[in-house]
Amino acid sequence: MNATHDTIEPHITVRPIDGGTFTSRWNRFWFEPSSVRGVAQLRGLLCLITACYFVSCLPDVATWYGSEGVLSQGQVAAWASTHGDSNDLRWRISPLFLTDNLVVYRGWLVAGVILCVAVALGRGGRWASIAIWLTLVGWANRSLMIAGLAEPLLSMSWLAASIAPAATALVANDSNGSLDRDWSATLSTRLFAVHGTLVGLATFSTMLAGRVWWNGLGSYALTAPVEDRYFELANWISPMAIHEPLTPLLLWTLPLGLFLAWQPRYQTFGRVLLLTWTIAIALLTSQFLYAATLAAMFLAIRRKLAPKP
Amino acid sequence: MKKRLPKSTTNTDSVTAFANPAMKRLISVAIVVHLTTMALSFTSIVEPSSFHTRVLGLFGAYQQTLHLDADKRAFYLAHGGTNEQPHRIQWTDSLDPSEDDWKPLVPNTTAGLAASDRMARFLSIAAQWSQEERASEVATLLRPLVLKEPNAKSVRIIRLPTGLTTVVDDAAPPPYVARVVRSAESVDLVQIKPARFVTTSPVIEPPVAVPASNESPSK
Repeated sequence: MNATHDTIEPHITVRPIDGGTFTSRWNRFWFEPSSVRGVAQLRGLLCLITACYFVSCLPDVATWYGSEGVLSQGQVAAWASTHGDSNDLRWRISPLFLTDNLVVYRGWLVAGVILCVAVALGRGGRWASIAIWLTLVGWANRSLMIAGLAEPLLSMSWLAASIAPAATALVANDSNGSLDRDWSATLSTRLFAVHGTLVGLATFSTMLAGRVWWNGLGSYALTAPVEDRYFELANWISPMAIHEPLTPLLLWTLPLGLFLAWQPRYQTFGRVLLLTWTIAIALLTSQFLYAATLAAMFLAIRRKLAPKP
Repeated sequence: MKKRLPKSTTNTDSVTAFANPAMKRLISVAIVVHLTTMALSFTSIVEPSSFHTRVLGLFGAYQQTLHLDADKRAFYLAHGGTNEQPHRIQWTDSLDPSEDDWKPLVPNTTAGLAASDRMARFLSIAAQWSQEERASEVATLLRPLVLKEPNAKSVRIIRLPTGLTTVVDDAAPPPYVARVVRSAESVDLVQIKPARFVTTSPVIEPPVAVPASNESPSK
């Protein structure tokens, strides 16, 4: 006996292979054209900070480099031959390892300053930005163990800044927004912002690894090495009523500011928090270049660069 | 690759949009790889596992060549450790110096500025290496500074006390002390290690041999 059955066609929904929501969001986030002038102003600020960095390296060139310097070619070779783990040096590539001539070192720094001025004025195209980046990296790699917190941040920032087209940083946006827009400006700004967010989160998470950030001494620990601080704030911060509440404030302002800065509604407040944090850190630790570079990265954080199509 | 859209009729805007999907995908992959390596580097600051270190080593050529790596630098700003204390390098021309005989080997620069930071970082690393029993590397590092002071007979690196250090911390011997040995060809630094703490115990007289007894033990 054959039963008859109604044939039921399965209902199949065909989704178009166009990437879906995540891909369109990703493309809008990284590649939607945005104002070139905006990123040019950011780059102009970075030029100022980098020029200050190069100038700050000039006073003690003779201490570290040259034939009698602590990090002369001979010293580095002698150290490398006795240093069991040579991983520290293998990839620190720099043309400055080829010479001990102090004129070359000073000229390198002066060239860096000149390039910063040129890029801030919109001259030299992308190649000038790349040249600053390579100048900075060459110097930082030669610095070996004396390079600090500012160098990796500056390198990250110049990697981002080199992507955007050249434009002068000195002309303000006009109210009509009649400016060139380019996808590479968006990519550049986003890299600035994401780098800053990454460094901020890493700073917060590694602070948590120290007991001083749990027992209320963290803010005091920033100022404790008084002889190595430009502003002697240890005495001002030593009362328990000041350093104990200030410690969690410094700790939690950073992730809170990052979260709020990425929310369109609270973007301005988030950025104010982050800038306040960087100013406080600069005053307490005397790490001025580090704080300034991080502040520039935080300024790039914004959810919307271009209006939704 | 680039698609230039028509210019606006009201102003001189130009908009350059990205029209090549293949190049867009390639750049997207590069972004992901780059940010992953950055995250790996910045999460290795405190105490990375051996696996983490090995994975990071795969990207060493990219990260270190472009100076993008965190390199275990103190991005945490402060943990209150001894390496955060101010360090100073001093010399003396006395073979049996008192505290007053020690003088700065490097002129003081303005505290908190970049030059001062560099020297502080250098001396902190030298002190740390000294405590890791890497005396020959420390001697190599310090030799150019010592050469600039021909009268130096001893050099040392000291840690200055801070509000976070205890009396016990401050009483600890300097992390590095060395005698300067000069010859016609070279100047060498011979580290003088601090006296180790020793535990003392009362003198115990050796037991005196007792002759065997002829009496049988009582039951």
